[in-house]
Amino acid sequence: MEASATKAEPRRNPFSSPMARFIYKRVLTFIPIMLIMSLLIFIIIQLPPGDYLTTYIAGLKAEGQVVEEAEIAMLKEQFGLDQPWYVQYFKWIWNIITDFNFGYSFDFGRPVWPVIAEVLPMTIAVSLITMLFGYLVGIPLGIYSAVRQYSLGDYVLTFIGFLGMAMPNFLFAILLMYGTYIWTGTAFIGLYTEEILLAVNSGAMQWYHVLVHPDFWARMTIPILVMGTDGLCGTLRSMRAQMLDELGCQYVLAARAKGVSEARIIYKYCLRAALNPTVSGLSGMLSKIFNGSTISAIVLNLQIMGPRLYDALKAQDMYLAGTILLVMGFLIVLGTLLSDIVLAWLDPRIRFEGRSAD
Amino acid sequence: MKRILSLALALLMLVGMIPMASAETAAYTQSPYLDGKELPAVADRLPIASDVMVEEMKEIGQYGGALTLLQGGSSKWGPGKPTEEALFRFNTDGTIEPNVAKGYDVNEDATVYTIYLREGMKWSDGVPFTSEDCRFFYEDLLIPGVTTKSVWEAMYSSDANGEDKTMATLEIVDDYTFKVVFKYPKPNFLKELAINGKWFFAPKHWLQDKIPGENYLSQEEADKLAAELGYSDVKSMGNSLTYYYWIVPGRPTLRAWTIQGDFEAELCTWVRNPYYWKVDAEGKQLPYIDELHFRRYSDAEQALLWTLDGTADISSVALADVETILNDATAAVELIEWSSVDWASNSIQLNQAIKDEDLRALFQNVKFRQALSIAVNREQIVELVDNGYTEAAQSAPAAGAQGYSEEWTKAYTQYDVAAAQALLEECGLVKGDDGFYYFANGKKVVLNLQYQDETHASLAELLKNDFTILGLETTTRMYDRSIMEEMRSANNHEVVINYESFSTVSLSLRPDYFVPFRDYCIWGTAFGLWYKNPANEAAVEPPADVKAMLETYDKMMAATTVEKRDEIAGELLAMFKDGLYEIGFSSALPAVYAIDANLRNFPDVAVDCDEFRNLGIANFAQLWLAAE
Amino acid sequence: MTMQEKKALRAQQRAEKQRKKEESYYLASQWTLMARKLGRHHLARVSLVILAILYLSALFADFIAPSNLTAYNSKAQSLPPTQIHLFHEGEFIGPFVYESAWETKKMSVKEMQAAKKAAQEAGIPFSTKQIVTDTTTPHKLRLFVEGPAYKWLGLIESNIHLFGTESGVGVYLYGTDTMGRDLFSRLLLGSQVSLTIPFAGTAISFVLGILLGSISGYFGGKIDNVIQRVIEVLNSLPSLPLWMALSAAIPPNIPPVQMYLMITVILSLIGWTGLARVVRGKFMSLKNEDFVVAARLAGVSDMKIILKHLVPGFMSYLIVSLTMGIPGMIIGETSMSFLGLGIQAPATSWGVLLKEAQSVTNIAQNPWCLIPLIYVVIAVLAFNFLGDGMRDAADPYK
Repeated sequence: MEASATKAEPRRNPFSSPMARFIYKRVLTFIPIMLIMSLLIFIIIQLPPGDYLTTYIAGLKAEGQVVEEAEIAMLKEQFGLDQPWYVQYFKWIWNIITDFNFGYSFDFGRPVWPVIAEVLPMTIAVSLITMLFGYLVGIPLGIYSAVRQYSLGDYVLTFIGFLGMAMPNFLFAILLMYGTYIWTGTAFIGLYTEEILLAVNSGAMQWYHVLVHPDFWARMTIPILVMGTDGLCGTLRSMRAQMLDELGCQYVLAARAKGVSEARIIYKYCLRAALNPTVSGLSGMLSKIFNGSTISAIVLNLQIMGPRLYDALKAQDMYLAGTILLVMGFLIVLGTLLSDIVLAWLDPRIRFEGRSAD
Repeated sequence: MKRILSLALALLMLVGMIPMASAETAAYTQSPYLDGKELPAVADRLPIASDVMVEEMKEIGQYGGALTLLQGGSSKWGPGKPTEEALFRFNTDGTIEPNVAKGYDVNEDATVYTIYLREGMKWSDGVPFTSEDCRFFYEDLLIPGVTTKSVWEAMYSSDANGEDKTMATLEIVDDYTFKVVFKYPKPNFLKELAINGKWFFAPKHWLQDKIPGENYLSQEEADKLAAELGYSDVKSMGNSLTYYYWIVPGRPTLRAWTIQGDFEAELCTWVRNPYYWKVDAEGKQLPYIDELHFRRYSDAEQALLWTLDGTADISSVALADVETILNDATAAVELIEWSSVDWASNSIQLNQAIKDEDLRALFQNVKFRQALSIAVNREQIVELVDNGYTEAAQSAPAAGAQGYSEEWTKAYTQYDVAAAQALLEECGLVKGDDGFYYFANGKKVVLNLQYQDETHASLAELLKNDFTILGLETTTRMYDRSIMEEMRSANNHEVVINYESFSTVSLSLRPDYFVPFRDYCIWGTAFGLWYKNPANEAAVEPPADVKAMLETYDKMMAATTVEKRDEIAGELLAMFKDGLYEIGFSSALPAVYAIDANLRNFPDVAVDCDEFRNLGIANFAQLWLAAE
Repeated sequence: MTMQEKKALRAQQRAEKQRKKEESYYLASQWTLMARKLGRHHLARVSLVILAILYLSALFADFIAPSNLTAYNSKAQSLPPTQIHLFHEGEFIGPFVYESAWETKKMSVKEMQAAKKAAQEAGIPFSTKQIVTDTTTPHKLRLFVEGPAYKWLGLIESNIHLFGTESGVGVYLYGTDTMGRDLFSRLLLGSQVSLTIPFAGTAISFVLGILLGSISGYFGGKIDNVIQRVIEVLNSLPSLPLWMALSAAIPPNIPPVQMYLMITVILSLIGWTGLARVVRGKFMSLKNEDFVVAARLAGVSDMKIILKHLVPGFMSYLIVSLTMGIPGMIIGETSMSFLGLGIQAPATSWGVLLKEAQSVTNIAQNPWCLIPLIYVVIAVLAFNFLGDGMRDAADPYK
């Protein structure tokens, strides 16, 4: 009976549902936004006076090299820097759209994409590990802090959580590095020891061996402490605030009156609701994973995306910097799009925005 | 009887010769690192006995170990300079000696140089190194412009008036001899080659299928190859394979080590070259050290930590960090002090071609520069900026360099604000009611001090203080290095602190930063443009004293003998003494290196400069690590 | 009055007091309620006091600091904090200090290295410098001593400082830096910049965020769409390159602090997006409330509805986000100084002081250079706890 009923339903136009129309509209605006963004990025990169050539020459002079004028003229032509900026921009965008060719990095002398791709795994690994640390430690601490509000434990935890956020990362990092030198006689600079690096270079160790190597994790503690404490603090506070809100709700009182165990109340009911803002904060995570923290990475000698972008910007290596920024922007816009879709699915009012004013 | 005796004697001599002959071939030994690798015998890898280079050194060393050095940025000269092997190289006393070349002859008027190479010398892949490799480099790479570099200045000669600049030609005599023929006398050729020419050879057997040219690839084939190998174009490929070649794995070189890994990696390994052509006095094939490790750092503090904890075997140390290292009881490093060729450790240069007309007239007035010089409290700078490691001094050549005089070093170094103000008034400036000086036309005199490194911030502060007390309004600002360079090339710089300051091992060999014959020196960038082409819009005509300097420079470059050239250099130096083109405040800082306490044969005394390839003067092939 | 009457009177007075209290509670404005609740939050109270101390000392920094920013002294380089003694040779004479200096023999690097080697072989501990204190002459500390001249707020000239020695011997509470300047003075004078500039940036973002967020949320439709897209684009603009570009593009004669202010202002013109999104969200849920419909029907203009009816409703939340934004800008300033883009020497700010501390040499040899770190942490924590307290206080459900 029911089967025939469903079969009898007329075929629906996929674009007729308001949800689909909403998605369609948002995706349409995607392309013009990306184009405007790429233009703005390119302009910002070009804003400082000079270009890669001046960086290059300044660098050579710093080593006492004498650069001949003929060479400067040749380099200018070779880098394409003798053309006006809009021509450079147009060529770059055209190559990306038609060819997926992101241009050449002047500094590295190689195509841009491999330069980005080679630091991508470690960037993602470091970001994921520090973010996981933030969540895995922040959520339980937040719950504890909310359940035992105003207790000594609450104050101590909140204080420690805040401390991590209040410390400027670069100073924290160098203090920890110096500390490891004082305590162990070897400074924990970078993620790998000499043994690991030599073994990886010779092919004796693969990346999965590195990830389980104890020396790697010993060194990983510094980035986790420096870069993870910001996220930890945010998660702790948000969890604490949300849990407090939830614990004050009527249904909790009712459940307690009914005799439901405290643990069940906390973990089964309040926690789920309290995780809401944390989960919706995940939309910004996409771009954060890609980028990671720049300043801490420079101080700690981590070869990840942040320092690479910073170096490219300083040297005015415009295609490399432009591509990294473009990808970051893309991820942000994508993240917003996804989170908007999810929110629209949850809250019907948003789907109908733009229709009537109520 | 006599016949038997003489026969016996002859037999004895013959018999005695045999062990000597075999001793000669059996005398070479190789590092255990190479044992078990399928290589020809040592003697076959080295040049013939009479041509092999025997390195002189303090102590005969032992094989083994890896030397760790630090790499800070993307500069390829980090590994390039210590491992460089040029035709002729410098000694610590500034003379040159044969290196890749075995020796040379020069004719009477210094127009023909005959260079002798070493027979049996091989590239790092075992292919013989011959004069054809030198000709290939000059005629098929340098002159056609396979790279973006232009032909070395060292290869040109001009007539007595500095005109008719002509390129030298090569004549191959045989596999191991070639001649460099100049149209006009070129007395300093070898030294100039050692400084600016660097090397003069390239592996033809390896490059011949990778470069464009008449007998090589066509332009399309070269484009295709460049794209395949991942270069943006053919010129980039040329630069990488023929100029910055040492970071290309697999490219044959003559260096003691060859790169094995990726230059950009966190740890880059260089492995010994089994065909290296030098031995020590006991016949051990050099280098002693088996591997070089280059560790990357992104922040100077990491370099210091690596020096303290012993990871780095040789590293450069800033003077501010010297005490940290000495006060650390566990740091197993020794500090070595080399002298530098800077004329001053802290100095300023005034852009005498500055766009503002009033300031230009003022900056070109030597009395103004004298006023600035005596208005500065040098003692304070020595204590606060240099931590007492220097002395109050004027910008002048150091003791031992040509032109040095006690008088010059102390010229205009007294601290006398009143006398300075009197000089300002002699320049036509008028003191206003607010205590600051104005031009006669009522405009206020404003000095913009510019610097490109944050370590100069304290010097800028102190100078600003001193000049304000003098009565000149001063501002200070830091610029990123590349922006500073951009400003300089656009002639927008004004008073520049510690940027491309006077520094040279010899004015006659490298006058680029001193004399404005091209747009290089800070104090006269636009003058250099005028020298090249007076019609250039951006050029500024120099005043009389600078024109006299340029004429003297021309005469110096056209000198036919070394003595004449040095004599005219002396005239130039006298102009610099009187001209105060750079105002210096403290004597040059030494260059300090921290070396592993077990490292041997590292020179205690040397001059640290680019002409001598900085660390390269230590001759890395002769360094060795003693066991703990 | 009889005993009974007295008792009755007292009871009446107590009841009256109670009634007044309740009345004031129920009739109190939103702000009074918030303030009262805030007062009960311990951490927030302490934070408020700490911030008041920091800002007051920044205001009177010229007076409180015994020295100033240009007091270079080659004899007092990198001195540890001066000890304040009370007993001189057994006698109590009140607080005083001794004069200290480093004993240095001017040696070259070579000579020092040789001396170290000799000391190591002999088994003696080696140090390049010794501190020498002249314990024969006590220099008494006085209040309101004469010191370097200054112009308070650029208006009032004076040379009286809160404390110091009459003889002019340096009192270095936090030690000196490598140029011989008193760190305590630099810290106080630097706080003038570090504690006030964040307000400028936050204020601009605040105003823009409320304005644009409310317009976007209230009107909805096309306007909302456009503003949302603009927010998206601005959000994806990376701050680091913008900082670098702006730092480089600003002309040379502008002093560092003004340059930093300009850049902060420019960036605030971009940084309002977070607040705007939240305001928009709240507006979208509130705009269909009855009181809004009523106001519209009554003919009140849209702008007035936004500003007078809707915004005050969640003003508490906005104040909280304002308080939370400031510590971010304080840390941001230190980060910018680290990268060399923000305030640079010779100007002084907390970021500059932290940048000087960012060096193994300073940490190892002059550890007192880390004291500004404590100040930064305390300021940031204070703002955060205050913000937390205000958020709790603004919550109507507690």
